[in-house]
Amino acid sequence: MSAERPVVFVANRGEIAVRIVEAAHRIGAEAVVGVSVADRRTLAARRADRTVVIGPSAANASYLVPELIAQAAIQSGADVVHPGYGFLSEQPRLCELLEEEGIAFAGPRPETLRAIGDKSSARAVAVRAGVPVARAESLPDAADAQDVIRRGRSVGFPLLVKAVYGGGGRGIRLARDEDELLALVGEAEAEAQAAFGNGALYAERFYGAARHVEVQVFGDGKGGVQVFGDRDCSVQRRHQKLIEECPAPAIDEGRRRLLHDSSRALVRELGYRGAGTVEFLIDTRSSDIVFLEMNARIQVEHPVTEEAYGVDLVAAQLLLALGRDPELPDVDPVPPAVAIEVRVNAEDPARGFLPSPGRLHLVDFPRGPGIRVDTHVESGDEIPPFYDSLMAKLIVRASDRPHAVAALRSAVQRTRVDGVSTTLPVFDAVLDHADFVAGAVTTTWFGEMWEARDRVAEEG
Amino acid sequence: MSDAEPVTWDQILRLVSLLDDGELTEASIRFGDVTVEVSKGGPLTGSRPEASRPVPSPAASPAGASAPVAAGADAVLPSPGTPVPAPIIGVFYRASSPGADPFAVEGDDVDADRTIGIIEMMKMMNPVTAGVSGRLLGFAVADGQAVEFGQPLAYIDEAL
Repeated sequence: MSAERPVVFVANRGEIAVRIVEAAHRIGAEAVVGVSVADRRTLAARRADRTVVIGPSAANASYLVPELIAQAAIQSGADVVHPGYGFLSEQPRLCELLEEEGIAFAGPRPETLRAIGDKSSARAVAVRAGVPVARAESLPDAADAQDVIRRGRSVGFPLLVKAVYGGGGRGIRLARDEDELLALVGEAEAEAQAAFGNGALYAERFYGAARHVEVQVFGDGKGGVQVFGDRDCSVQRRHQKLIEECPAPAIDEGRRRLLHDSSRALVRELGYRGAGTVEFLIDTRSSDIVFLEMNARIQVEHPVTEEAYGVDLVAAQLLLALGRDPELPDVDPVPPAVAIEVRVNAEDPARGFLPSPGRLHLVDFPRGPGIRVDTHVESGDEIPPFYDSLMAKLIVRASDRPHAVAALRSAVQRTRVDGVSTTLPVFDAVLDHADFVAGAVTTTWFGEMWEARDRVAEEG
Repeated sequence: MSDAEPVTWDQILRLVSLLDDGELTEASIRFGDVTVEVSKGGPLTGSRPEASRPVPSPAASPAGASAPVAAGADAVLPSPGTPVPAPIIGVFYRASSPGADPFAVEGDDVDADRTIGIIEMMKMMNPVTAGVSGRLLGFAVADGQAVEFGQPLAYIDEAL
């Protein structure tokens, strides 16, 4: 390994690729970005020391092929590959290919990825670690209607049907009763087969009014665990997060301790290596806490934790992978500041959040105390149609939540994007809303609020 | 423009794309009495401001003119032919094994499906076919060189 200036290979695109390039430079490493044809001149490519064209624009022929990433990493003389989030970040295959070549993977070990990548096995690990879980059952073949109903009853209605090998909130369906369950299970099976290459399904008790709260962890790979507080990510649209904040508001000390202790136990049980997130639902009626899943990667919303605690989780991932001290301090369960993030997506909220790719004539983000912008676009750049619509994350930090909400409201209003539609108008509505200002909304709140707003607009 | 062909945007863009493909770092091309000079990532090493000037003999070139393609009437960019792009990232080899005869050599007349090399990617061998029929003008990369996706490996003159 090139001890003097290690080489970091970035196996991702978009804002997280820029973020990893910055972290690589921060630790004194050289940054090489693997790009598709469409991404040859992106901000990440411009900021990188080198780029390598790994394949054509379509992600399934470039960013999603582990062999191409491994080959590009070898050709680049990489010491470590950072997979970002999405794409191959939780694929054991990439990790294995790299480790065979003596290249470090900035993520968990392949066996950990397997253990928690399959949701039923993740659940089993959680149970073993004493983490509270929702009642769930695996579902048999759709043809066996009687058994489907029997298992549905055992879970209790309403329930969610999920793909065992699914992820990212995709392919999840709600069944309020037995008839609905029977009606959707065949289609869900076909969809899971098409999307994830495996039609296996399971049913899990659905909490209709719940908050999404998650815990940021960092494991040393030997059972040592550090917990970096929690985040609330309840403002979601169709299971896609829109706003995240650290710490989660309105959590009493006892429940916070349960969340953190459960996460610590799970991570220790796994001998987990690197950054990860343990996701929970908190039922607002019963106050029950249940384990949702563990994400074995850096997450989109990691900046709120970084800002609230003043740490650099991406640099820590790289340092740990390079066999160095990740230089993370031990912190309190509640951070000294409050940070909130909005995801600025190139989508048109007035047209059902339809993706809105295109050329950005002008992009102007606010600056000022406590403002951070993680983005991959500048004026003149393009949002290509091949990939996800995340354009920028606008993050603010303040001494308390009311000040953070006010600062974010102002930052959103001062952000200018010309050329594509964005989700910015959504945040004007959310940040002014009394429910959000009060804190602790549920995961269905945004959808209902937005629909009601649309109805008023139509009638008005 | 005297009686020479006027410069077209297509010709200039083609020149720029050659630079983009990493084949050249700078080039000068003369269309009648118009000379177009293009360079990637910095000023031209042999740059002269006049668009039109007396053509120097190669011996009279400034000492600093180390451009791969020197300026001048006799340095008109040879027709590069049609590039054969790398179909995959990996290591390019011109023969099936060390010491074996190369799949193709400069001057060969090749069919579109003729194998002209292989790219090894994670121990998998991927044949590279010419893609177009014509005369193989030459290779743009060395045997055993790591290549990126889409990088020109060779050039073929289709005008036969």
